[in-house]
This record gives sequence, structure tokens and C-alpha cells, in this order.
Amino acid sequence: MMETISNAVLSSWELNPWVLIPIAIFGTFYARGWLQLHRRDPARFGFFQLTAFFAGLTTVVCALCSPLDAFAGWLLTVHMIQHLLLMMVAPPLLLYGAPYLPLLFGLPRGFLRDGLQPFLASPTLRNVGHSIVHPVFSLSAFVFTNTAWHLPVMYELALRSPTWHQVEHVCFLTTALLFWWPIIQPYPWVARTQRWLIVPYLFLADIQNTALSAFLIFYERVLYPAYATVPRITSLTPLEDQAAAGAIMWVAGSVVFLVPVGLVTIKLLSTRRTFASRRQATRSQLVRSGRMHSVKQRPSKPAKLDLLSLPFIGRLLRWSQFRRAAQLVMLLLAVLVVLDGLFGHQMAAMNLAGVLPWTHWRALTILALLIAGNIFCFACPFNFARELGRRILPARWSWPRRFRSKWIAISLLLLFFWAYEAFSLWDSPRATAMLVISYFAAAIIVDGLFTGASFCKYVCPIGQYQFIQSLVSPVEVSVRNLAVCGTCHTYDCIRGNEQQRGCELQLFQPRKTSNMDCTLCLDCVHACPHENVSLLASLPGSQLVRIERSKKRRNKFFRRFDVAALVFLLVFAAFANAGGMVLPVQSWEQSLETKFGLTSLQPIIAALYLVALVILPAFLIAGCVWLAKTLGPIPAGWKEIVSTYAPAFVPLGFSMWLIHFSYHLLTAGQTALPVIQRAAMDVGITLLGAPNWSLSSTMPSLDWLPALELMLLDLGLLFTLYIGWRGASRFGLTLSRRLRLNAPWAALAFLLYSIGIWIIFQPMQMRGMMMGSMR
Amino acid sequence: MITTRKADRRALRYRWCCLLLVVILLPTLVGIARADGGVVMYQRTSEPFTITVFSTEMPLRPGPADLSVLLEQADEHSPILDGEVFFELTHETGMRIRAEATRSQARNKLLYCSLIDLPLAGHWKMRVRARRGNDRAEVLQDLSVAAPQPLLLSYWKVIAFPPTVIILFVMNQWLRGRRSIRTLAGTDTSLVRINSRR
Repeated sequence: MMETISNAVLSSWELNPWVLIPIAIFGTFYARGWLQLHRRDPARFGFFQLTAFFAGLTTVVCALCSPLDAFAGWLLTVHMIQHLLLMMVAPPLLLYGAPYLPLLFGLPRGFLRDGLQPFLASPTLRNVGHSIVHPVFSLSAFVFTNTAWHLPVMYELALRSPTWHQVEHVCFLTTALLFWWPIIQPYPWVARTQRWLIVPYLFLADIQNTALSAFLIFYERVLYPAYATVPRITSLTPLEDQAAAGAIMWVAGSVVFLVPVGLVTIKLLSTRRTFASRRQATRSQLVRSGRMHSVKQRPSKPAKLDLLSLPFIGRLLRWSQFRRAAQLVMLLLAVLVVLDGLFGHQMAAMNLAGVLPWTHWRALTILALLIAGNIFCFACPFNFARELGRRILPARWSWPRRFRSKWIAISLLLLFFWAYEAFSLWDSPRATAMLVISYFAAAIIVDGLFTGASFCKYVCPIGQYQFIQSLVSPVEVSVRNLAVCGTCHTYDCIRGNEQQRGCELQLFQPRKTSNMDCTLCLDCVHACPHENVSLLASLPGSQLVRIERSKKRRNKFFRRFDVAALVFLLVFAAFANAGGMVLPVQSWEQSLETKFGLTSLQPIIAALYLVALVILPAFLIAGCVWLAKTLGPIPAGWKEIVSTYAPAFVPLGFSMWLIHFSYHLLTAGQTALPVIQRAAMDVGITLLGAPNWSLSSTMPSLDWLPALELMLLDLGLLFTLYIGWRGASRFGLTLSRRLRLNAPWAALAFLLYSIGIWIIFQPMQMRGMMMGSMR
Repeated sequence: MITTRKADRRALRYRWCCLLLVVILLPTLVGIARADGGVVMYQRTSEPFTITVFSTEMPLRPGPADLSVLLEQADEHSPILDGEVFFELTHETGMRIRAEATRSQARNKLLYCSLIDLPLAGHWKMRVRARRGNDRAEVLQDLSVAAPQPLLLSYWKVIAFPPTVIILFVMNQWLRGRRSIRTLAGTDTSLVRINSRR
């Protein structure tokens, strides 16, 4: 029996993400930086440093994820061991790893240069840094933290609340790092105090530790009442447990504090190196090894991940028939949706047309945009219709010049958003099927009459939505080396050749700076004779940052007012569309219907959508322009100002679309199975079994979802503010004028963010589903 | 060219490592992290068992509640690891929730744990049934679930994230501005910088 209990105790580990994720991040950055530094200076950054740092991280994991943490609330001795690991074992090990430079070198270079360097170079912050590792401050902080958290009121608070327990551990670890810093003096830090001061420093710490542990040992009552109420799993009484904890603290503390006293004393007596000579040596070593240099030296451009060079994915993407195969799968699905929508069961939750396009397809395409790129356009089933149109119709006219803009697509999108609510498209399989059929018809007619990809570029509303959202994607078709394009005289990427057509959307690769208007067809990749066009990956959202950064290859799209209007329409539609499914908005619509004595919701919906997608955005944007022109006078027209700030709002809109669609997928993703089973049964296929409708009426418990949604919205807002800030740089203003110019746009972003938070906290109506109200 | 290829391969390897790390760590975010144990709600002896019920945080509020039980032999006070434990919670309105607490769900493997979603605030009756072979015991306890916290308060950490980043960014821009002024005035004495060349 005892064996089983000990097994149970020893297996009480926890995979705590709040510990493991930061540890993994620190470990990754350290290892990356250490590799670079080890190549340059193996003596300074050797395997000892690497081992010490990772041993420190492992100690933290052992303290916070092992059975020590599980039983800390039951036995004070166990809790004491946990704290000693955090204060006396992990910090010196971490500092022996000389983590400062490896962590800096391990960071992404752009973040280090633009984000961190101003802080590192600030004299004020440097002085703060030097002050907090000064022995007087670090000893005071260590002693104060150690004493304060051992007061019964504080200790009990930590035992009662997991959050306060985490705060306690963070306090212990950070103050212990500060405490050990002057003792270990991790490279390249140079002490400003005399080394002999470390001896009284450690003695003082030991006195405090001895006093505290003696108090625990000799106090005749249980100091922390929580330990008197918990079940006893050992033979120790609470008082004996307290005394044992005090003894551990005393012995371990004395060893840890007094051994370094001896070592430092021996070293002081034996060394002749003075403080000044060590400082000089350190600096000259740094300069010699090239780790310090003047500000003007600039780093080289980082290599981008080339997807076409990946072992399996690269080969697949290069295969000329891969796109056709993906389109065929999507066409098959579209045909099934149409057939079931027209002839299947007309309850949306039981029909492929009511479930697949509205719950799965929308969410999967936006997730694909976030993770990969414009996968929908890549696998677009309407391409077959376009090709059919070209065969049966003349396809010889150029698209009229006056319509070469996004206004037709904007009008169609407006129409769609209104129709979606007004005719409850999600709730009508037949209407969904008709929508798909009309889409096919439009593709046949437009590309059957006009040359190029006129349908994709000027008409397709889904395409425009994809183009705008794909600006956040991490993958884009781009040239590998611009210099190679400089020597090219055939321009196959746009003109095509005998084997392969060029870009139908007239995107010239050397001048292309974003995913705007790119259908990811890869025609340019196959056409380029120099194999200089590829699928390159970068961080999500980096294209939007680049829009303003690139002076040579300035993106013409973001000088166009129609593109700006399209962006703002999609941003406001994201919030209007999500808002339309929450209970208060629906109740409000119904109360308006009653108030005005109407017999239908149609006029109310039409009016609300007109206000939400046209009048309100126009009013708010006009207000922002007026304020921007007043507060930060700039020599730019209102259209230019709107076009400058439009791309900044893409991430906020994207995050709202993502929140909305992924909510549907996560709560109702399982509904696809019974619907597919039903459709199969209808055509006599019994292989999949009878539909299990219980899947459609139950919802998984997703307590973590609101936090995730808020985090996505947070990221959207922050990206929006950042890109807006960068966008304003084109006007070349001073900091205060730039702030004033940005203020109204930031206010608009915060307004949309607040609306988003409000929507997330509202009960959701699972429209077209078998479930009722949620949250 | 060779150097570029090498750099590409290194960048590729690094990104694959990051991706692998994310894939490994992502599942830890969802559902695995438990905080069973915590505060003792009550301890009762109902022969032949002693039942101690824990909750991670007090007072309980509507939403997921991590409830766990330590089952002990009443005479020996030794933990029982091969028993079965069931919760039954009845709200004053008559709503009833049943759940089995298991050791596999617990982080502390001496405990039987269950994550119960409490939908309503108010008074509940908590019945804990324990069984081991032919031995059975049952304890009943009143439970008070406090009103839910305002949503903004519940999610303050996530909502506080943007203002924190904005403050850091403003500081960053301010420091950069100051630095460029110092450089123009020729008073920037920091001759050396950390080399970010890779």
C-alpha cells in the first residue's frame, strides 16, 4: 500500500503552461544566442554556461511543476524545499549561465534593434539597472521579500489563492536573482563596489535566514493555520512539520550563504587583479572579439523561409496539377452543397448548405489566412466556371477602364452583408445553393466576355475579402533576389511563355510588395525561367508594416481610395456581422419593429446596415480626418489621409472576423458529421451509419474561449495602432505632431475594440444551429 | 551564395524548432493545467471513511470549479487510491449536477478531482458519495456560491495587456526621440552598442 501511495505522490507532476511556456521561450532564446556567442568566444560562452543555465531552468520546472508544488499546501517542509529551490539553487545556476548576452543575441534582430535597444541605451534605465543590482538594494529587497512573505497573513494569502501563490514565487525568484547578481557577477556585468563587501553581504543574509528559521523551529504554536487543517499524510504533526521546515531553512541557508563567503575570501586573498584592470580587460576583449561596435554598423537582412524549398510541401506546391486537384475537391464540395441545398432537408442545421459554408468554410479559410495564406483563392472552385466561360464565350474584350477599381466589389459586398441578415442566408439551404449557383454564373459570364482575371480582380466579393485579409498572412509570393529580376528581359512572370501563362491579375513580381490582388495561383512561380519567384514566409502582419517602410517599391494599392473604402467596409462589417448574432442587438431590432409598428424586420435591418456599414463609418472617418488635419496640420488631402490609415485597420477587422468565425467552428464544428451522415443516407449510402443528431444539439465546454478571443482582439488592436503609427511616418512629423495626428485614429480603433469586447461578453444566438443561446 | 544557403538552412532549422516547440506546448494551454487541492472546504468522517473536500479558490463563483476529494481510511488515516467518488450538487431551484471525481483528472494523485461547471450563484447542497468494494459512505454539506465577478474584472489580465504594451511603446518612442536629440547635439557618449550582426 505504501508503495502505491509513494507512486501516487511521485507521479503528481503538472504540465503548467504558465511555467513551461516562459521557460521554453527563455531556453530557446538562450540556446540561440549561446550558439552564436560560442562560435565567437568559446572560452567565455562554453558548455559550462549552457549547462548551468539549463540546470537553472530545470530547477525552476522542478520547483513549480513537480510533486513539490502539489504537496506544498499540505506540508510546510515541502513548501520550504520548493522556496529554497527558487531562492537558493535556481538563481545562481541561471546567473552562472551569463544569460545577459545570450538572451539578447537570441532575440529576433528587429525586436532587439527597434524594441529593446532604446531601453538598453537609455542612461536613466541603465542607472536603474545598476542600482537594483547594487548590494544595498539587492540585499534589502531579498531580506524584505523573504520576511514579508513569511508573515502569517501573507503566507496564508498565498496558500488560499493560486494567483497570490504565483506572485509569491515570482517575488522570490526575482529578488533572489538580484541578490545573487553581485555575488556571481555574470558576464559582462562589472561590479562597481569592492569585492570584499560580498563577505558582510552574505553574512547579513545568513543572519536574517537564521533568525527566521530559528523562529519557525522554536515557536510553540502553528504559525500558519492552514497547515493545521489539512489532512496529515505523514506521521509529522503540524508543529513538528514547522520545526522541520525551519531546520531545512537553517541548514540549507547556512551552507548556501557561508560556502560562498569562504570562496570569495580565498579568491580575494589570492587574486591581484584589481577592479579597474578587470573593467579595462573586459572592454578591450569585447572590442577585440567584435561584439561591440559603433552604432552605424547595420545588420544584414535576414533570410526568409522559402516554402518551395521545403522537402515535401515544396515538391507538392511545385507540382503543376496540385492546384487543379485542390480546386477539384472544392468543386465537388460546392456541387454537394448545391444539390443538398436544393433537394435536401430544408432545416439549415440538417443540410450541407446550412452547415458547411457558414460554419466550416468561413472559419477554415480565415484560419488558413492566419496560418498560411490565401488558400481559398488557390483552391477556388469557380476557376472551372471561369475556364468554361472562356471556352463557350468570346472572352476578347478588355475590362472597361472606368470599372477598373474595387467599387463594383464594394457594392456587391454591401449587398451581400445586407442580404445575409435580411434573408437569413445561414438559415436557408436553398438560398445558399442559389447564391453558389449565381456565383458560378457570374464567373462564366464575366470571364467569358472579358480577358484576364477580370472576375477575380474587379468583381468577386469573396476574392476582395480574401485579398484584404491576406495582408495579415505570413506567406506571400515574392521574388527571392531582386537583382536577378534586374537582369531579366522577358518578364515571363507577367507576360507568360509557351508553357505557362503569366499573372492574370497583372501583378509584376519585382514591384509586388503585398498579397493584395494575389490569388496564390503560382502561375508566376511556374513561369519564371530563373526560378526566382517563390512562396516566402515571414511573420504574420509584416506586409502591413512593410507598406510604409518600402520607399523604392511603394505599394500603389495603398494610395487608392477605393482600396481604402474596401478596407473600412470589411472592418466595420466584421463588427456589424458579429454584432448581429448577439442577443441584445436582436432584442433591440425587435423592439424597434414593435415601436414603429412594422410587420417585418426587413426595413429595420436595411436601415441598421446602412448606418453600420456606410453612414457611421463615413461620419467617423470624416471626423478622424478633420481632427487629424486640425491637430497635426499636414499638407495632405483627405483621401490621402484616409488611404494612409486604412491598412492600419486591417488587423483589427481580421481579428474580429477570426473571433466570430472560429467561435462558430469551435462550438458547432461537430455538426458536420451528422449532416454528412444524413446526406449520405438520403442517397442510399449507409456506410457512415445513422445520423447522430445529439452532436448537433450539444456544445463543448469552452471556458477558455473568451480569454482567447480577447487576446486575439488585443493583438488586432495593437497591430492597428502600430501600423497607424508607422503610416504617419510618411508625413515626416515630430513626435508630438505625430501623436496628435494619430490620436483620432487611435480613438477610432479603441472604439471598435470596445465594441468587440462588448460583443464577446454577450450571449450568442446560435442561428441556424440546433443549440440555443450561448454564454 | 553558399553562405546565403547556409543562413537559409539555419533560419529554416530555427523556425522548424520554434514551430515544433509551439506544437508541443500548445496542448498544455488547453485543459491540462489543473490546480486541484487548495483550500480545505470541509472534512467529515463517515465510517469507514474520512472525506476531505478541497476547492482551489474560495468563495466559489459561477463557472468552472475545481473540486477534489481526499479519501482516507477513518481508523488509519491512510489515503485510499482505489475508491470511487461522486459529486452531486443540488441548487436551491432544484437544478442538479452529477459528476464523477477521478484520480486521473487530478494533478495531486492522492486526490479524486472533478471540474464542475456551476451555472448559478446561491445555495447548493453538495453530496459526496464514496465507495470502495462493499464499503460506502456519504457526506452532505451546504455550499454557498457567490455572485459572479463582473466580466471585466474576471478578464482584467487580458484587457490590461494592450495598455501595458502601449505604455512600453510610448516609452520606447520617447527614448528613441531623446537619443536622436542627444546624438544631434553630440552629447551621446555611448560609443559602443551591442552588435546585433549575426
